[in-house]
Amino acid sequence: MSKKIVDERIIETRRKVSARGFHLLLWGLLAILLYRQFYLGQEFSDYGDIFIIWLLASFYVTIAGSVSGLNLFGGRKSNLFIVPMVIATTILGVNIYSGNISGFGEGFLSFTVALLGSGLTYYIFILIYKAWEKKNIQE
Amino acid sequence: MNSEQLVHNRVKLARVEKGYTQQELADLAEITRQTIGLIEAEKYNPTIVLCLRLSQVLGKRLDELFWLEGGK
Repeated sequence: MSKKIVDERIIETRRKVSARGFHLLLWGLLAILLYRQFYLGQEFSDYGDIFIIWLLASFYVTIAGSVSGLNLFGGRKSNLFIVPMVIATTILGVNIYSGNISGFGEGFLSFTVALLGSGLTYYIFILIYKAWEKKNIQE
Repeated sequence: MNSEQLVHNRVKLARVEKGYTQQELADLAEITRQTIGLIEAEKYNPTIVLCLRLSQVLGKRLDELFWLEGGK
């Protein structure tokens, strides 16, 4: 009986292929969600199952990366872009909801909410990343 | 540091000196023949574990077998 070979190159290649397949699936699901929501105009209940799976997978990637000390957001340069974007979106979102600004469609509103949500999520993961750095990086 | 930096090696030379075929070396290092072929062709950077295993099997020091581009 031949001995089973555990070749590091094969393991690495399998992981790479799986990771690419996973990202293809993740982006494909996002494309499907956008298509269903904005092109077909379906109700959330029609695509909610896909959305939950997509959200869980995205959260897993981001949380696992942050907990492992990966700076997923590119550091200071992306902060320069993200911070004003989140502030602007927050101001816009609050004004739309309070009725100070009107005349925007539902699509624009959900886009603003999504932008705001992703901005807040970004800060949560930055906090996780900073906590990881504090715990794991020695002076 | 670029993780894709090329690692040069003398695995083929050391293997021939020892009189091993690629398959024999692969069996001794417990990897596949294809991996040996790719390492010799410098198309795959082995991990430190595999580098150490190869240096052990081929009876060479690590720095005799592997070095970074620009070094040595």
